[in-house]
Amino acid sequence: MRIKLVRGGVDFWSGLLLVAIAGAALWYIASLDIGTALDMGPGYFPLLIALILAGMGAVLLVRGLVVVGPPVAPMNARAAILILASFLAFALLLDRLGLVVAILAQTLIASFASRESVLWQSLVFGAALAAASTVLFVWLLGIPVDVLP
Amino acid sequence: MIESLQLLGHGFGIVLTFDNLLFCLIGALCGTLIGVLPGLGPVATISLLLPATFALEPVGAIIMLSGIYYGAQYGGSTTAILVNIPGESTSVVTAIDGYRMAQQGRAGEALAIAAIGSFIAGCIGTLTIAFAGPPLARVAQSFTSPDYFSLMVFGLVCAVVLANGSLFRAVAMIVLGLLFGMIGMDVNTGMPRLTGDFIELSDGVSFVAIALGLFGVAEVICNLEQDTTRAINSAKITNLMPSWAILRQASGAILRGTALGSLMGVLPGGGATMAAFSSYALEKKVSRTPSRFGRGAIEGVAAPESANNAAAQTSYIPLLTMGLPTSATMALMVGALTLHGIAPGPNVITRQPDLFWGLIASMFIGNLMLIIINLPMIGLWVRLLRLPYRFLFLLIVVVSSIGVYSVGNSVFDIYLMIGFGLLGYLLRKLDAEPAPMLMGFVLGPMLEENFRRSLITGRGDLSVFIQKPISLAFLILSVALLISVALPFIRKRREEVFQDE
Amino acid sequence: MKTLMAAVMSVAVLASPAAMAQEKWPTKTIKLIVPYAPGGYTDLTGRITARFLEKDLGQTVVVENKPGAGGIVGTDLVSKSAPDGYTFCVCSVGAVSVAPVAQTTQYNPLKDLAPISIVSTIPQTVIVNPKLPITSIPELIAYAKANPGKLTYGSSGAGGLMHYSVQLFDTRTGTKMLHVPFKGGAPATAAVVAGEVDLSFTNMTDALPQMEAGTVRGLAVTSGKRSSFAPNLPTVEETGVKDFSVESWNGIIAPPGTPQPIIARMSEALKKMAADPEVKEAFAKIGASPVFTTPAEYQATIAKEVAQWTDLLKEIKSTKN
Repeated sequence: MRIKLVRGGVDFWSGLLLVAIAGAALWYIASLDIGTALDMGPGYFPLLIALILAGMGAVLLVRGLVVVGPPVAPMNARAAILILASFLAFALLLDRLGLVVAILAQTLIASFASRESVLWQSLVFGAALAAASTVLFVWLLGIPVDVLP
Repeated sequence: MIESLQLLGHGFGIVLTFDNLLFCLIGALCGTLIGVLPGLGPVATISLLLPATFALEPVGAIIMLSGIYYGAQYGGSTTAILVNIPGESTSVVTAIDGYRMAQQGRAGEALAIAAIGSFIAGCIGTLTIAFAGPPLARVAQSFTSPDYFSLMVFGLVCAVVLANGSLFRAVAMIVLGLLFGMIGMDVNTGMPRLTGDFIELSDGVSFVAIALGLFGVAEVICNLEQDTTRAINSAKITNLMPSWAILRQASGAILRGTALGSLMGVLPGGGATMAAFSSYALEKKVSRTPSRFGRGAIEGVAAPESANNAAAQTSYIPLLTMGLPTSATMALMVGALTLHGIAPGPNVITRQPDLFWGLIASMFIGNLMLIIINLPMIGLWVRLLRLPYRFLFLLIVVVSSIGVYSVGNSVFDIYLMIGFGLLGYLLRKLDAEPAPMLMGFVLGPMLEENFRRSLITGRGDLSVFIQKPISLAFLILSVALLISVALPFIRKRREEVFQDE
Repeated sequence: MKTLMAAVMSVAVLASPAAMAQEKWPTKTIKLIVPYAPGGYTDLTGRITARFLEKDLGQTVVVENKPGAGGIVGTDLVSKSAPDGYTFCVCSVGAVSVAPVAQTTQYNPLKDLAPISIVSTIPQTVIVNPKLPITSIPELIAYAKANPGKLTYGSSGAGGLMHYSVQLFDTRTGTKMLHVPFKGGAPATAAVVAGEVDLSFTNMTDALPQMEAGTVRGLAVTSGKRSSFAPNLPTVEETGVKDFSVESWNGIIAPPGTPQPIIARMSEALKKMAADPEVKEAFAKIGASPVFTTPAEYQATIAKEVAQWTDLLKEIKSTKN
């Protein structure tokens, strides 16, 4: 029989996440001047907050090991990766190839994130979005981006 | 009083010309539009339209630009309610219950109450400028750094109140938000902090990037994950317009939200945000059934929407009576006024009565126009939800990308949004609420700034916080609120313990 | 890649000073980068400039706001932009002369920017809360010396012009005042009005209406010459403080390596602009005066300012140790 180490998944993993973020912050804060309570340096407040966060994270982490709690809801990496990648594509292409290409690329990638998508429909919708965005954002609201490469 | 009424009449005389009515309408329409589009805020839009007002009369120009500002407050709730994307810090709390209502098929009701609440708040807020402007400005003037610090402490306690789940985890989320708020240049020394060598981060993380990431992007991913995304908007859409019963239920929240918003709007910095958050907390506290909050309570939409609209109007008070801008938008108004040869200062009311009273009169008319524009639009918005999700989510991702780009005309903010989207998704899987975190993020920098400034001006004496009456009052309020939140938990624990025995 | 392009460009220019392609400049939209948020003083200056250049150059001129880090983000962007004559910066003293000394910037203001002309200047105004028994600069100095460390001054943030000019004042007069940073100039002015801080070296636009209403008391202007907006205010130097002249300016700066003919044409346009009555009126509304300098004069101004702030920083450091 497998011994279950983590009893409360939600507590354990959120604790770990908080400890990790606080740890990263502390690593950065190490180079800052801390000062004293009455003469604070730039690092004082961040240090205080990062320590509190690390402490709270640690409490959750330990709780997850000791107390039985709800497990983490199942995750599906596919949707997350594709949606985030679609934003990345937009950001990478916008300055280089203009708004229209960026929108088409984003809708193309994002459409694979939904099981219900029909590729040609998504592409037609993407083209319509590109046209509408050009009129609304660039022509009417004057956002400074190139429309075409 | 009588004199003010006469002057107000004079103001209406100025607005009720074809040109000025037209400018008011253009402003209101523009404002609604950009309010609906996430990321596009009044600051960006007003600055884009500023050059176009060069040729206008100063009064007409200011009427139009103001219309954009308070119009955006009407539109801002729309995306928060429909797709869980709060475009501005003031609509973060609206998303909590508003989006729940939309999922239950009550989007129309939520939107209508938001519009009606905004209208009532807008009118009362405008009346406040007209009749209580100068005294309220003096109140705002008497706020110094220690008072702001205590006010921010109070705000953080309110953030605890709006959490639905575990108290401990809510506090952890606030602390996480505080930490993200620390990113950027330290005001006191000019040192970059936690910026990881990204010069773009020296002004801190953009609010739009963090809000769109935590709410919008995470929501889209979670929806797509489910086996059938139809479940999201398959809920039958009930009434478009709220029933009398709902209106009656919301009326108290609207009035309380308006009162809080009118008062807090006068304060610089996070006035409007604080008003929205604290009004939500207040409703949850006075409600006989606080458990409904977070599950689609109409008061949770009515109160913050009324509060932020009232605050949007009364934030003009320091500008018009003292010449002191209290927010980025108001600073832009200073720019607009100076461009037109009017130096906003303590003498504006006496030297530019046409401008002052004309603007106030235009706010009444603008609010009236906005409710006339917005109520019929609700049908349109609700129909948007009937769009199959496989199209709706494409619309959301594209508009979010452009919106977040437009904030600083930089793709860096899109990368930030991706990062916060991932974080938001993980937090959601871990049952953590993003709203308290955003509150920590917004209030954290102001909390630190005012704390450190208090210590400088108070020569390192911590007792300034209890010596100043305003500060002391907020601290006492915070403690009282904290106790009232914590008590039920403690009592419950006790009961559990007793049951065990 | 960009430096290579710049090198090729400048070689081409050296080889044929009247390069064919540049004779027709401008043939497409020109971008004016404003490294600050819209609505501020630099933004307004940029918009006034854009309007005039459009008329004079016969091409669309758009203003793009790239705010961040007190102007460093946008200025850095321009210093790395293609020197093709279609990107310029509406730079300001803070990011060009102060920040590179006070902080670390990726650009060296004397090498990585090609200044064309200052377009407007605006003096700082020494304002105090009217409840203080101080009506002139000598009184301010006397009061500060009698109560060392007691007077507080507000600034737009550490390392900004509002902060440094008071530090310069302190070293020139032997006073010591307590720095209270705010986020931006407007809250600092508001704090003087409210009496939370005692004084501030605020820009004229913010100070003028408050002085007129008597909510703050103006003592002097920091520039070398008196300002036409408050002609009764003496300059700080007039009151006996030696070697103290601080002025806020906005100027048009090109990326390094921009072809000489383009810079010359731009300089010519800006010279016309400084004399244009409409522009003068527009600047007057925001409390500024139109100015023209040659690229060489502009470069010299920046060099002088950089040296001044470098010296100040050294002086402050040596007194601390």
